Amino acid sequence: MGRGMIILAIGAFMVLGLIQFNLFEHRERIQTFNSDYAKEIQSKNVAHTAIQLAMEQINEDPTWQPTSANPWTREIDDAYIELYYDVLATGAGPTDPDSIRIYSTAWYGGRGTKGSAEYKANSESHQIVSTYLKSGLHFVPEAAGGLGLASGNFTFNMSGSASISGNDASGTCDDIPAITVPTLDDYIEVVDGANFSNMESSEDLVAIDPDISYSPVDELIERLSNEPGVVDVSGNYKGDFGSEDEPGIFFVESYAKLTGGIPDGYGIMVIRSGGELEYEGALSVSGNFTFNGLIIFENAFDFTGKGTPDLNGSVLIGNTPGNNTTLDIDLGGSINIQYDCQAIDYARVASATHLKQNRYTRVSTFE
Amino acid sequence: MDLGIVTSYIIAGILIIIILTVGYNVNFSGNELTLHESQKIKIDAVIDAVSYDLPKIGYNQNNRPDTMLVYADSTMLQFYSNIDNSNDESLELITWQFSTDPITATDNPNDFYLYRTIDGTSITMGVGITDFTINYYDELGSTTPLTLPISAIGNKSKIDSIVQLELIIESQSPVALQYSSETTPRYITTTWTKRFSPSNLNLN
Repeated sequence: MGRGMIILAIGAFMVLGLIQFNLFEHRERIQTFNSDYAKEIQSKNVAHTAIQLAMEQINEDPTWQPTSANPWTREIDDAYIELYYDVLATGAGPTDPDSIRIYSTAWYGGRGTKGSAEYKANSESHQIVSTYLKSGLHFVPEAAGGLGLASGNFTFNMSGSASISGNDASGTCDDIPAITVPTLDDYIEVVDGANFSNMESSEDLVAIDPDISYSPVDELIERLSNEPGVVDVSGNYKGDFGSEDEPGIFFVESYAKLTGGIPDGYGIMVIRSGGELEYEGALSVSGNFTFNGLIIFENAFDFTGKGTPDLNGSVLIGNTPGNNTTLDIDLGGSINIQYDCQAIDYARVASATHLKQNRYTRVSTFE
Repeated sequence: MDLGIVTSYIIAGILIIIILTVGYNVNFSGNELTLHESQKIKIDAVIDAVSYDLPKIGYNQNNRPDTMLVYADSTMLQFYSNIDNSNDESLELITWQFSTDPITATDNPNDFYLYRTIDGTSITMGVGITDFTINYYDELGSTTPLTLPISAIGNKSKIDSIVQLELIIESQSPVALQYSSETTPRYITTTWTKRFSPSNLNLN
């Protein structure tokens, strides 16, 4: 009996062992199927992630451009990616978007050295081809007036031959009011001090726009002030003020005097509290100090001189939150403020160049 | 007879019955799994095809077609796409339709033909599909499908609001299995469900 039981027990163990072996095999088949699916999803996700990272790279360095022959390679979340992009078309103007096509391929779950032919051959892979319109983010607001007074705390006087025009000099945009203020009280203050014979606009000469605000322009200015490449204008300044091709950002935060030989300026000029910009006549080659773009007076209005400065674009005056300084706006001499929407493009380009941020508008995706 | 021998025969008998039963069950479940997997492999081609087509709804290289989805119903989907990514940017009209044409080559009376048509040229898929249901959503992650059918003709704004599709494919084995305790044969059923968020429907 004892021998029989041993034989039976051994037989039972063998049969149960075989059954167990079969069950393991089934489980492995199910797991393999599921893991293939997970690998496919992971490679797809990583291909998308790589595009996001590539956008950051482009923002940081606009000249960064991996090619099909020399793609950007990287490991992301244990997957291997190759990415490159083609520039399909560049924008007609400096603020027009470029068209780019990004090719991102990810491999995941293979064996061998990542990126090797062996790894790619036994990986799950996914390619995404996305076309984007890339435009620089500038955060420069639309002009509400040739002179925008985004403050409820100012005095206003316009004398001499100072002039303000809200008619678009470029002829490409709608005209805007010569002066825009936020409230009726401000309107009355401006009307009392204005010289209407030297103001022009096909719209209102003085308009009330409750939406005109110095915020978030103050945030833009603060951010720009910390960016490398902005120019601090101080002392007897003899430098340039940017060019049409490379408009700049200029901060006047202390006394500065422009004494001569300065060509026309392009971009954004910020004159802050504590800053004072003095100029003498016949500064530039054209005989006048001319600035094209956006001129901002923050918490102060200190702009004095003898010549005929031409400010083409738009002028914005405002107080930062918490600052209650009364802005004594005295437009004397022969200052000319001329709204020009194309000149404001110089401000947009300057801001976008320094902020190094792009907006990517997806046109299509092939996956 | 020796009580010990009787007891050992009873134990041996019970053991043999248990082993045979377990063996039968494992064998049956093995067959079931094999049929299940074989069915999965069969519909893999369908899954690959829909997984290729659906993410490309409304795709073109440099511009967005004015009409992307043409017709949306629970068993039929029609859309435009530059499906072959041709540089001439020509759009193809793609139709997926689950028909009521039965597959006569199998024992299973529940399976029907699925058609994929590109610009009038159809490919017939007779791989045992018994259900092919598409739900449409106008919000990502929504659980309330839109009321069907929706046609671009007359209801373009509604069909343009679709941003997500859920596809449910059910297929059954061509032959049935019958477990000893069951009274009727049973077809092994495989269900595949996936939500698609076609990138080009989500450009805004």
